[in-house]
Amino acid sequence: VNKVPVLSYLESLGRRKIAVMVLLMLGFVAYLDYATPVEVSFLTIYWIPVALATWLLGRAWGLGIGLFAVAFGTITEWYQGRRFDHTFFFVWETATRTVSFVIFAWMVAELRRAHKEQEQAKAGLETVVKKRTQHLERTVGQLKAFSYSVAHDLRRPARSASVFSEIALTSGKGVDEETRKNLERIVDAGRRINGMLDGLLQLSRLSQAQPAPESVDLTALARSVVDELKAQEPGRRVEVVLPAGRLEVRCDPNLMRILLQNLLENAWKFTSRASAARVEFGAQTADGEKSYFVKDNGIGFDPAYSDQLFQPFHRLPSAEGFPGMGVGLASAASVIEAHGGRLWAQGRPNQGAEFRFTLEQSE
Amino acid sequence: MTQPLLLVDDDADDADIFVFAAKKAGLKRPIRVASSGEEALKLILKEGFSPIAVLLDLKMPGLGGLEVLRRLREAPSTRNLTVFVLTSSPLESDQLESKRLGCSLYFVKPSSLEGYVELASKLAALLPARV
Repeated sequence: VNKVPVLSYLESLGRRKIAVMVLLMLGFVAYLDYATPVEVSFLTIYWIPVALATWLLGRAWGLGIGLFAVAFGTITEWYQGRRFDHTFFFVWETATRTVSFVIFAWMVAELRRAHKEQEQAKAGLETVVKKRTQHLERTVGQLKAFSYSVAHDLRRPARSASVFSEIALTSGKGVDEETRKNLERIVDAGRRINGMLDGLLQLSRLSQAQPAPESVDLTALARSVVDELKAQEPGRRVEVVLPAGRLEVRCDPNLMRILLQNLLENAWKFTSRASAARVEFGAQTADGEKSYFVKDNGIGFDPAYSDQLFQPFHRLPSAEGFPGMGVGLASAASVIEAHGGRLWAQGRPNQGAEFRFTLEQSE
Repeated sequence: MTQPLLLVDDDADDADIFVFAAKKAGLKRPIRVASSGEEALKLILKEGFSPIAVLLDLKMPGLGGLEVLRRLREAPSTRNLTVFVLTSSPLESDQLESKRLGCSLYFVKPSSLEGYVELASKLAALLPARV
């Protein structure tokens, strides 16, 4: 609802001052009416104090000032020498004026009421939105704490299950072949559960992270991540392309390292079956927006599944046979979300994948 | 006589796993298990039990590990007792507080037998072989 500055100033004066002002204004208009020749009509000028009285003081005041305006108009005309040939003409003239003022005051009053209702509705809506937002924030906070504590508490029984099976397996006492296989399965399942819980804890911690932005050179960060990957698998030959110069960005260095680790590890992993593996990290500006990308020529993915890529523990069918729990890209998405940016992916089966992200414009 | 190692953990499974791993890692010392912070303090401060070191869990019902550590540091007889923390909490705040109270090493509980054996052999290397 738009506020008219003059009106909101007048409203702030208080009813007593407004009443005095309206009455003075009415008197002034009546004086002007009297001072000018009878041919100059002041009918519409009388509407101003009536409108102000109705808007600022209410319907009753509007009607009262309206009746005074009719009386003043008639009296000044009388003093200016206007006479009617017949009493009926006088009555007719006064009655039409009265009706016109009543209608006018009523219209302004209705307008005022609609205006007030609109204001109240808006204020009510704001309160509702505020309350809901608080409720949602609280719920999300509780859910985050809950998922953390569940993941944390589940580690104990998972650990017991897998380690005691391992102890049974390695105890040296003879177990038959079938029991041995079953125990191995329990060990394996326990390890998988533990891996997933570790992933869940990592995601949970990331979702609560508050970025502390500083100036970071993404080229250097990507290079150190790539060096780690090379050190882990010295036997692999991968052509890595990084930007020639520095790439200064304002972001949280620890979170950004996690992001680049996950994206580059992903590219590194899914190019392991390519004959001439190639991984590229770079930046690009299109339509005034700067985005960063990690591109590879690995197994790619079916674009139909692109929205599932970032869901935790969700692995695409094509990822079968590659290590991982399906936490890396979800972690990457979490980091980008904390930075107020966007992360998306493009790819085709066996034609590589490209992950692209933006960071919040620092303005 | 070999001074034993005191393991304080409310979870019997975790305690058993450690004892098994210690045997596997060649840690020759006897291991005494206290299943609560209260029990550990009673053994050491009241009954004169004197371990070579304490391996302490943090999250326990009743007296938590950090409180046990604090009380051990307050008592003159145990001010310099070697204490290791073995907990499932990876939180940095717990690590910092443990270090501040003078724990020698902070271990996060491993999730595999292999990890436990590695941890036990690390401890075996740190502790003197004989008194």
